[in-house]
Amino acid sequence: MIEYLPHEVALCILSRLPVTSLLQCKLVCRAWYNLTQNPDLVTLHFSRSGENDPCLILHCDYPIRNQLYSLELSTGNEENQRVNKIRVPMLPEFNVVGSSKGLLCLRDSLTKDSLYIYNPFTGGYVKLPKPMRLSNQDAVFGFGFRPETKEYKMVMICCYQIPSGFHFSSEIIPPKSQVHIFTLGCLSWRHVGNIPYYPLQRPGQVLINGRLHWRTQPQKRRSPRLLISFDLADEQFRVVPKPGDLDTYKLSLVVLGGFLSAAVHRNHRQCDIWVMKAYDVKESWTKQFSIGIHVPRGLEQDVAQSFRASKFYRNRSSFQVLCLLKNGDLLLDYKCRALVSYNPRNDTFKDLSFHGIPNWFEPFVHEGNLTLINM
Amino acid sequence: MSKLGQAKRIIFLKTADGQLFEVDEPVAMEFEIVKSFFDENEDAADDTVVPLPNVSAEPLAGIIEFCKAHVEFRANGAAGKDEVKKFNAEYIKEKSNEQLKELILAANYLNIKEMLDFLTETIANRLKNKSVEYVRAFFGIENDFTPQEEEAVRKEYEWAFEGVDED
Repeated sequence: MIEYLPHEVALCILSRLPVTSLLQCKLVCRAWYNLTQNPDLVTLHFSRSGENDPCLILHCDYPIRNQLYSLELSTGNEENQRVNKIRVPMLPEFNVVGSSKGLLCLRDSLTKDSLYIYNPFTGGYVKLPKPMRLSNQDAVFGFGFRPETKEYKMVMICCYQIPSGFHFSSEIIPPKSQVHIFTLGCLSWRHVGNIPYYPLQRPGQVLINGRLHWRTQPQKRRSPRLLISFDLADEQFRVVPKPGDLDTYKLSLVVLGGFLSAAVHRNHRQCDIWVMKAYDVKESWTKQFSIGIHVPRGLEQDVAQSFRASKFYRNRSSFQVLCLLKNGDLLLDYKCRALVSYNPRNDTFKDLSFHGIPNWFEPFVHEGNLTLINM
Repeated sequence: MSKLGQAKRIIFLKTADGQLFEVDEPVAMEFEIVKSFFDENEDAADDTVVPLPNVSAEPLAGIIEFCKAHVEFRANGAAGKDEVKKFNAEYIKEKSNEQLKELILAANYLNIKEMLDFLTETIANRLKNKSVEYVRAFFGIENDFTPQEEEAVRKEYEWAFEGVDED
């Protein structure tokens, strides 16, 4: 029997736990409670938080608004896993813009002019200074952590003209979007110039190789849609090669196992997964596997009429790829209603069920940690 | 026999329960505590017995097995490959929680970084999503909170305490 667990061993074990298990360890004894407050532990846990499977943050706004739940994805004992409800601070009705290295970015979904950075596992949050003229322009956001400088950066791209896709006032005037950057810990936004793209916002973050990624809307009728990136280091935008000659219209970006990847939907119910094996090398895009038709349990019926008014109800996308788990399975979300783990090696689907999971949710892959927000 | 024709150097280790172990030098040098013993006593005789008063025979045998395999993996350039993962998985499979704890205490005392990393990761995997009571029992830790304190901490993180494994 152990009578004495050395401090450094306890610290090392705790630093390897997923964040919800770590929080729970506060209750073990006084020494461990103090240990969880130890800045060394917070730092060590932060640096290791990528080693575990990520957790999912589920955002629900129906029937009650502003609800967040967390779900730990440690593989192996799904049967016993539960969804935990997070105590959300009093905030206006929000949308989740994205998650990066432990922090969520939230945006006021009514006035659209307020942004918050929030750690759901410490409860800490800050309201960012208002960017210029945010409310009357459509804006696209990105939020990412830069390990080299330990900075969190927020980029906002304000699109002047939104092409409808069918009629353009002129094809001669180049499109122009204003780029503003906010570094967490600074006092104000910086306007860093304009770019000739209209990126498309999608929930979640596609951050890989120190760059955030978006698809763009076509700049002119019949002009190609592009993939663009924003480098958190030099703050430059670059065009990223697309897989083959596919139209990005059908494509959604995702990070899988450390590679920029694309789910290319053949139709509502099937998609191909392309992976860019060497970053920025067009020829390295490889079709890795195809995900066939699957109807998760309970989804045979369509949703209740009342839910169709919710902002999460999106008929067009039947499923999305969320992440690659440590066991090699892909985590899929079907219509914001069901989580499924797909095993690409033997092409099988497993419906995941969790105690307490809400009926409708928007999932965000989140690397949970206890980082404090410094302003 | 090594290439130079010299006999392989053997290091003698003596455990708390009086057992004598003969270990190949490269394996023994994985133990930081043994390495610094010889660094500090450069003229120690070849048959010097290094006392390990905090380690008993059973965990030491397990540690030697682990380090021997890992020294060989490194020599063969297999470090980080599937072979190593397979060995580690097999190594840990039959170990009880009690054995794991003895191993980690011994590895901590002997100061073997690679093995400590591996063991803390293994233990963390066994503690994931387990109840507070399970964690206490695992380490033999007594709950020293007063009921009032425990209630306060529980309230602080109430949401995190729903739905953990009973065992």
